[in-house]
Amino acid sequence: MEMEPDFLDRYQRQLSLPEVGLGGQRALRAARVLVIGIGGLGCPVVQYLTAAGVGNLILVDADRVSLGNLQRQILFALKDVGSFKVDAARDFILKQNDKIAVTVYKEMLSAENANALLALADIVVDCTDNFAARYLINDACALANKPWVYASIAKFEGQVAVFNDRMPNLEVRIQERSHPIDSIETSVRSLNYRDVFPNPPGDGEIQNCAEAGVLGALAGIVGSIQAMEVLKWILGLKGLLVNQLLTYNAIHHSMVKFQLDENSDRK
Amino acid sequence: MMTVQLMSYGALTDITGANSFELEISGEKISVAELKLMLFSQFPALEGKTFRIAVNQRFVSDESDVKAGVQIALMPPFSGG
Repeated sequence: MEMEPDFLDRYQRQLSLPEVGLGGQRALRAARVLVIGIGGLGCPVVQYLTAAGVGNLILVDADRVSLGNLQRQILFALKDVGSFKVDAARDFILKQNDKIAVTVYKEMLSAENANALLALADIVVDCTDNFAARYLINDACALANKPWVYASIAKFEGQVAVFNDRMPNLEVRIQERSHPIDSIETSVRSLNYRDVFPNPPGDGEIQNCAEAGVLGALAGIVGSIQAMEVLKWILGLKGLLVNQLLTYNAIHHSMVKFQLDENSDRK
Repeated sequence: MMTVQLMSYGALTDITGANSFELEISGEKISVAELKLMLFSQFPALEGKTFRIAVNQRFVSDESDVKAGVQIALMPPFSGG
């Protein structure tokens, strides 16, 4: 995939980072990212991946924009109310960079379409708002050997983790950056969502944002951390939230990283 | 007697009433399973909830030990996005 003609100007601020540079910018341009759910988390994720020059964005969401979405879903404007979220998001992306390849799916992730959608991407971003979708992403990524970046929010708190990454993941990807990321042989995978929470909670046990409420800025903060992990993964940077669960609390501004162990129980 | 520090996350804080609290425990060491029973007796609404226990920021199994001075976290899954 060719770089944008204006890429030296456009990406100067990140090209000057030794961790990015021309090689990193090429990796971003070649990367294929599947974003599932274009809501409170999906909006900042799409916004920052677009701005950073991720070349291929695949967006999945069956919903249309509602007036109540505008409080936290910052890709959308009043004129988008009633439009499909993926269409409005594609308009936003192309207005900023018309060289990005955007593919949209106006459907919910399902057991039927999951494998085909995963096959389109190097890495998956879970911006969904329910456990059924999250466990489906987890299990489909485990079967397909795809890494995925998880995030979820509850009132004033958020969780973020990188699941099912190839281990060891860093040096290999830097050395093989000229190759498509998914051509790298898979081996041992890092822990996944079922290693933290083996089974979904009962129906109605955990409130979603519609029931519990949320301030939009929290979705922005947690979605931005999620976008950062996607960029770090593409760039092969250290410090990914692999075998860890990051929690953020917006009241106290506290962040805690919890360690996951293979031997912690799966009950 | 020993004192352990507990942090609860997400909606579990609605049950425990505070996101940080202390628990006095008789003896010098108990298992995570025993700690759970103590918590269920103090906060009956916790029983049946989905959550993991971490000791000093590391998720542990029911057989793990809880000793004086450790920091316990009660971590539920979050749903929102």
